[in-house]
Amino acid sequence: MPSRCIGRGEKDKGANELHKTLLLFIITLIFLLSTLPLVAQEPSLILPEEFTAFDTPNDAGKSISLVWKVSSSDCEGVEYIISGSTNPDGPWQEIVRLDATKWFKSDAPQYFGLGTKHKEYHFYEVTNIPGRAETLTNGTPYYFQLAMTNGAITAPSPTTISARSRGNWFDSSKTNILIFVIIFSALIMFFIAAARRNPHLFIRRIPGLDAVEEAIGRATEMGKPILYLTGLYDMSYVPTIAATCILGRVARKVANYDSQIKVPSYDPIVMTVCQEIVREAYLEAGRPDAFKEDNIFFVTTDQFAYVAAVDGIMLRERPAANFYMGYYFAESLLLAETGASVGAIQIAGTDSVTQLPFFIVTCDYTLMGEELYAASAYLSREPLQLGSLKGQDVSKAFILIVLLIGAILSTSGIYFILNLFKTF
Amino acid sequence: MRDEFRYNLTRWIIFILVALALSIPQFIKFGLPWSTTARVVHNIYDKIESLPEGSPVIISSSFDPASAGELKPMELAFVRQCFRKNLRVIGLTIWGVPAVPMMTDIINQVAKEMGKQYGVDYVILPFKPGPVYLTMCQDFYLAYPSDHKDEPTKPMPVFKGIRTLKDIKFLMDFAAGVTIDYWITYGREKAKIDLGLGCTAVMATDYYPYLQSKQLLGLIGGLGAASQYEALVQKPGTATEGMRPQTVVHLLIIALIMVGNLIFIVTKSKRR
Amino acid sequence: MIAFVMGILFIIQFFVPHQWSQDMLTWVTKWLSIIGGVTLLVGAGSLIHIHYAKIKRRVAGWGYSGVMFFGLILSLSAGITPALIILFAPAQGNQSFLGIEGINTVPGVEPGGPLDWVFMKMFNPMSATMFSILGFFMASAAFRAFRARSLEATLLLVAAVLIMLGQTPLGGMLWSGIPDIMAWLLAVPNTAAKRAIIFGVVLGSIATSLRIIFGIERSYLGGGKE
Repeated sequence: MPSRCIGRGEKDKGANELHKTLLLFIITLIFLLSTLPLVAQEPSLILPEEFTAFDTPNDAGKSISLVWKVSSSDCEGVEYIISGSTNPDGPWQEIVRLDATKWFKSDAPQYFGLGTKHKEYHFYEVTNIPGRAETLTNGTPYYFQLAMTNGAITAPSPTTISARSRGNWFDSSKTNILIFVIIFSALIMFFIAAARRNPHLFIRRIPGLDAVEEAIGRATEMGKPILYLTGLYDMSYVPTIAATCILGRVARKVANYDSQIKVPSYDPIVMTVCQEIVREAYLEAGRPDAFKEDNIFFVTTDQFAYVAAVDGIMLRERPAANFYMGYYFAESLLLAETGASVGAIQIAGTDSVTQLPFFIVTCDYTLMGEELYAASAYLSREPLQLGSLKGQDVSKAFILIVLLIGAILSTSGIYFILNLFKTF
Repeated sequence: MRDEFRYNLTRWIIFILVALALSIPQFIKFGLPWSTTARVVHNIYDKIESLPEGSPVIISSSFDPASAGELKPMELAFVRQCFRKNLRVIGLTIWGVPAVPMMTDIINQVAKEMGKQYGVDYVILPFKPGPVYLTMCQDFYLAYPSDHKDEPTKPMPVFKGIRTLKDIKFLMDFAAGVTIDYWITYGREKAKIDLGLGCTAVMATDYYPYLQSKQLLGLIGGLGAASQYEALVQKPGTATEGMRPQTVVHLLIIALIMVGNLIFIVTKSKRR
Repeated sequence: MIAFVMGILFIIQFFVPHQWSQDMLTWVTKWLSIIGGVTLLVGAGSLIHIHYAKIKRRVAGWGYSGVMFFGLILSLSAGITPALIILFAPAQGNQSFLGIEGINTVPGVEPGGPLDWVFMKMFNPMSATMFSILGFFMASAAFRAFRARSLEATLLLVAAVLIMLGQTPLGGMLWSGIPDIMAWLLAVPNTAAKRAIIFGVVLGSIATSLRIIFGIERSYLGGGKE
């Protein structure tokens, strides 16, 4: 049997191999052990750059904005500590601790706009320093420091920054609103001025308003009163103002026909305004004796108590014509259906989109949305007022064109036009 | 005169039929399970299910007893789900004083059923006039230094980790008014928190645009949606009970519309 | 002139965030509340005068005016009496109100007090009752109004029927497509129509406001060019 004999040279070679392997192992071990402190060591926190303070824009003052660049150490568990003082050397009060994964400049577009780079910066608005006065004082310099902590270690900022707060005179985040207000107002004023030169303006028929004369005539023939409601808002709302403007026109016709008009009011201020309007209407018609102040009265400021009272008036006095002008809530159907049950001719006008369906279904004529605002101009036929209607229509055409362009652009993936109409 | 008599008689008959349609199903019980749940309702349910235990949730109650019929069942179901998920519930109202006792009753009722502790699992905050939602974006405790019993809020375990509105994981507004507009402006746009709305059926159509623009995560609109939510939470309540009369009345109205159209067609052909 | 000045001033105020601007708004809002409070007295006076005249003249329905006075006196008493009791006998605070079980002597709108009882046990149920009458009126309005007179009326009718079915579990049972159609109707055509109306309303508000500010529309003052 042949035997495999290991010669002397082969023996030496084997020992060398063993030594090399052992040496390699020892070196690896030493290397691993030397890197262990690095592995076991806590990662250092990298303080953010560009830490700045400035007066918060577009506000009434008493607020300072702090902005700093996002750090590569930002992650869950890391917090920023903001400290403030009225002296550059302290003492420092901790104002707030912020989660490093939140509080970005992009969260405050009303101050900084909609730029894409805002996500690379943190932002915090300081309104007071704990232990000091309730709010910051305009004009006083305040000093701030920023530190980072992950619970185990805290890295303080080497720099102290300062700023003073002040009130701003223009809110630049509302620039787009200002531009559109100017455009729409200019259009309306232009057409009002144009109406002075050419008073013969065409506006389409509004059947509900053409029926006003018919409704008042019917009430006069039947010897029944006319019931006029101005809605459930007070005088500070435009629908109520529009309703009272229409009341002036209607009351004049009622006075001419020598009929009676009753105005149960939801709000005392509206009641006093309506009393004056109707009184003047009777005066202008030459019938001041026919005016009865008791016909315009306050009922209640509660929604369902008001509708219960008005329904009771309808059922007892059975008015021949009901006018529902203004803003209404859930009681619209209760009013209109009761009015229909007593056989009154009903004309409604509201800009409340949720109540329009109920009025359309139960009333003889309904003025929808903007027709309520056009009613006063329509009834008076004054050229200047009709001119404003034309301006309104041109503004609507402008919006339609913008909508069309916006829809095409958005469908194509271009969204800048949406930002033009953003409000903050 | 004859027309008026006929008109009034018709109304009387309709009112009696409606009264019967509403009352009989209260006594004759029959099941009406939902075959599908509306996506807008499911979104709210899924969101709450996805929140980890201990997440703070705000419930804003903005309704009065007149609208409690539609809104109370959905709020009860929502609170039940929050407590089942062991979320921290913060009840508040920006609507007015009348909403506080209603909200307190609802949350306390469910808390008692599920063994939740006041101050630890839930808290009820008082009504504060003015734009309190604005202050909440800066400092929660400046807006609400104490709860409705005048106890300081900051030390309460239920407020642990909450500094501003941004720390809230979800806000649900049960509204009969327009309070959700403020929550969208300050809660969604400023504080970037997810919002849900529970409202009356009439109001629901006003808020579909906000669903499309993703400013609202979900919408529970009306009693039907409330009963869908109860089905999701697997605790049928008054909304589910209400589906019986609602279904019968809706069928009655459809039948009345058909009868009305039949009369209209017959009358029209007679005139010809 | 006042309308012009205040109108222009508050348009400018909207765009000026400075504290002076906010203070001016706060000041005017406070005056609005003060004037509103005063006019509430005027309104209450009008209410009392009207109903007293009705009772005196024994016009048809004068009994309801008596009910109005009863409610007025009850609410006023419920609010004021506990405050008076606490003023003259502070020890009675939070005790049973006039021996009535379940009602405490607490002032104003505080929970447990007599005014709270009147509000919760009388006023709220009556409000809820008025609200629920809507259901009946909706049925009678639907019977009267949903007639297929034209194409638009027919579309309205069909949409109403689909949505009514979709709002109940029965819709999904009859056909699985009904809830989806309902959701589409609410989300697409309904929202589009609402938005269109809102555009018109907003422009109408702007035009009306400008007419009032520049004095073109003066009928709300009770006078005019006519």
